[in-house]
Amino acid sequence: MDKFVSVRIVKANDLDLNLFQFDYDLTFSIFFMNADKTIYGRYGTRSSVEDAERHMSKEGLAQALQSALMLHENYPGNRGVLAGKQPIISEYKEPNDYPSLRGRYKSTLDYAGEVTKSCLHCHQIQDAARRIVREQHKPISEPLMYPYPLPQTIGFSLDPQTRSKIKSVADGSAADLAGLRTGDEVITLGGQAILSIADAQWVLHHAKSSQNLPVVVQRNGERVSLTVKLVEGWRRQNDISWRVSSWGMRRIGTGGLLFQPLTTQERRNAGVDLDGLALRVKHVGQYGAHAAAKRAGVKVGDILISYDSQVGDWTPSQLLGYIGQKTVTGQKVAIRINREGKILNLTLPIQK
Amino acid sequence: MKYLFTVTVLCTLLGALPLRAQAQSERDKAVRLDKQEVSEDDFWIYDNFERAREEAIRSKKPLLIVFR
Repeated sequence: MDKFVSVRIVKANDLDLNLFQFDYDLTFSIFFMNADKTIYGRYGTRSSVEDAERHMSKEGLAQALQSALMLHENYPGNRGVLAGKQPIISEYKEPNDYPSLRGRYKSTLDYAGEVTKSCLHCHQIQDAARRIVREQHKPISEPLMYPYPLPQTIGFSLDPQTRSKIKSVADGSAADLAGLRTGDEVITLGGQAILSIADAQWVLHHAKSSQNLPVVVQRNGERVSLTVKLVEGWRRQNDISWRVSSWGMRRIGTGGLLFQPLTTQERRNAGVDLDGLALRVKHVGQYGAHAAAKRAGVKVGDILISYDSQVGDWTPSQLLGYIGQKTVTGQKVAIRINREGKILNLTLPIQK
Repeated sequence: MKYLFTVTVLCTLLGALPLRAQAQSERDKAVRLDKQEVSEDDFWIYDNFERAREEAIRSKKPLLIVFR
């Protein structure tokens, strides 16, 4: 660690959005960087509310740090493998430039007063970006709706105890079809050196909706070049339901509902379609815009079986995706509820 | 009855307000304590990227930037 100059950033108020581009729903994130602002890599991954650290470990971080030091030693001769890691020009230079955040936060924190209230949180950047699109009555783009996909989205997981060793490959997935195997060490993905799961997520975040993604792995001491074929819709397998920024989508399209998918047995017990929409209401918001579903008559325990005439077997994440991409503010959406065997037809407003 | 209801609601609200304010105050205290501890630690530079960059240029070391 003493081979680095270490800085702790605690606020996003004056964040340079042309430099610090990462998963803004994280509560812990690391950049490895040259003093000339060339990024060597990123670290920090999350995929659930409850288990925030399951994709991170001291061992994995130590290996990422060592790899960053090696990249630093070989810099600038290795600029080629770092090119894709660099930020993309942002329309907004800092969070305060977003219309919905403008003037709300000062660039410094009020340590003498209510310091936490003076802090702009990273997830608000994501909210602000989506809000612009919603106000234009346009669908939210897939990268904005499903940001920073985990490698699991295309069928493989990386062992958080290592830098980039493949822990599992899902049968029949894009990764499986490409020939990736458990135990392979990912050296590059999309031509970029991979130091961590976060680096792989960066590559996937910027991947196209369909493309051939080159991968180089180390297998039994040899380098093997493979190609993962990304097909239209791959990004929608990315679970966004844990994200703080998804709370906004819940307010917008469900009026403050939190859902839990039903198991097959629960579907049988409830008498609902085994392969259709079946999301149980786990929580009903109580205040303001988050109480719109309550006002519409929805109760905890209700089972959502149709949303805007859609009856596909969605996860809560896919429902949020539909809201972001297929609904517009001001619209009324018909929902169908199964309440202890009784079918109810209700209406939810699509809110700001 | 209406008077009793109003008093009950007011008491509940007034009772809850200090709790909320207390939680806020605890969070503020934790942030201030964190600032003090990190600032006093020679290893970390607290919330000053440009200062860290200048140090990285001088020492030729890479930067480790933690958002937390």
